[in-house]
Amino acid sequence: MTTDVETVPDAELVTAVARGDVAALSVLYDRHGAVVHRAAFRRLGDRQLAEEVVQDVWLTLWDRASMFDPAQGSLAGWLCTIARNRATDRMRAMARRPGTLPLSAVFATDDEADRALAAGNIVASTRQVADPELVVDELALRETMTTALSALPPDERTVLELGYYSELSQSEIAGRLGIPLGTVKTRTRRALLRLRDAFTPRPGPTGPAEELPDGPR
Amino acid sequence: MDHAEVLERIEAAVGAPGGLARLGAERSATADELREHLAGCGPCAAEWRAWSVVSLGLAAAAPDTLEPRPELRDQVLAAVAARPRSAATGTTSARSGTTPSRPGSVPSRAATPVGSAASPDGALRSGIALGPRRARTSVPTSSSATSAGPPFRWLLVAAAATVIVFMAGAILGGGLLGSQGDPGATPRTAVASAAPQRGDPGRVLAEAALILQSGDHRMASLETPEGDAGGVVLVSEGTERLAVVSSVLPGPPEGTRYVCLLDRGGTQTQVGYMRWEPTAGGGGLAYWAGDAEPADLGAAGDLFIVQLDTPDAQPALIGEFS
Repeated sequence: MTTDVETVPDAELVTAVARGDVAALSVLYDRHGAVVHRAAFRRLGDRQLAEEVVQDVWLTLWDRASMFDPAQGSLAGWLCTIARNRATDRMRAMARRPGTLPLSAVFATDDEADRALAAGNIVASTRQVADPELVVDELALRETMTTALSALPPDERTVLELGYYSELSQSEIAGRLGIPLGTVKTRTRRALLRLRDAFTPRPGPTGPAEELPDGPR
Repeated sequence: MDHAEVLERIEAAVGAPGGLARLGAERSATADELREHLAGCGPCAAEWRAWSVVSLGLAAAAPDTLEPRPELRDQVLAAVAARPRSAATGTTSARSGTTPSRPGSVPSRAATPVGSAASPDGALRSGIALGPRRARTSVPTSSSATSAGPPFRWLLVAAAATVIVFMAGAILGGGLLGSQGDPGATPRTAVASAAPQRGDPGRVLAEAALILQSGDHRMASLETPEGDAGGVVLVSEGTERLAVVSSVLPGPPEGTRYVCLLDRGGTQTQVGYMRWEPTAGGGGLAYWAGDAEPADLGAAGDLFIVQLDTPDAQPALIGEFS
């Protein structure tokens, strides 16, 4: 029997997945693939790592579909929870690599270190870190950064978002916007400096962003 | 490597997604120099911290329009199709009597036909449900048991055992036996024994055992506004430890958390936040364990309150230290 897949509830598709139905899983991927990817990216900040996590999540669903209980929550929520956990596991695995940056020398407090580890921005630890879910208020951070991004001049924001979220190289950005590569570099740096100052103001009457001229350098 | 070079490398790295992480993990002589410099240079370490926050924020602020590469879909489905079914899933498949999709075939995105699917019912459920009423046990505090004298020492032991059983039941029933939170997560007992963390359910159990062994513990049984048993909080003044667990709280709405408050004579102080995880048996497990400030440990007559951290929140659980 063929069913209009658009109307099949997630729970029924998950049941089909539990029976080994790849087609059902493909429908679920089309429904929820993007949100799972975003959940991983928002924790890892790296598209390649996020995609590895995404694949892991769907393999987990394939293996453990029978564990999903729709009475306890949505499938998307469940998958995103798995994605965030896998992302955290990946960061912890990276943190165990030898020879990486000693946190104690860099971070003033445990919370700072935890946040950095949670973001994957620093990948070394000589101690076991607390669960990032406990120390990272992701929603608040997202809100703060969104506000800071919206305050950027549009041309700076555009190059930054193309680089970070579309993962275009600076040359590709220059080509797409029809501006010199040097301008892309300058705008990117200015944007980053503004964001840095938005989170961690530097002392002094003027910010560094104002010191940089626009245009090729 | 001097300051200028370090800062230049940091700023260059943060310009790309994940760049700072790659710089931190890079295995090269230059990276070693960078790490060595950061380890001994406060201002440069501060710069690293500041840029780490930016990088973290940019990741967290990824827009809702962010999409995975289209190729990822085919990669995922190919990996799934090539995946041998696990033993657990194989049992499900055998029971349903349907034929799995042919390995290696990847459905196209458009109008994928789906075989007849069984209606979602209790067969999807797994794990062991923990009835919250299990906690409904009259348990004396250590002080009352101790003051009762040696003939009643068994009562103290029974109290400790009861709390441990409750906590273990809540934790094992939810955390180990098929948590909706993440079926592939590291087994909690392994985490607890190998790497204790404040937020780990296994740690709560271990902390509870330590607190009960301390000989100076106090306890408050937590109840819902309806008067039903809702959990337990244990504190030890000597070791300045606190453990709290509840298996009756619903999942907090997105963006909120359960906060623990100590009410002393009408003045409330915030003790900390609880972690919440869904459990296979329905509901979820809220818990926390770890160090606590002496002022947060609670004296006789103090109230221990758990509620959402929203302005209009009402107590979800409340208990009085005796």
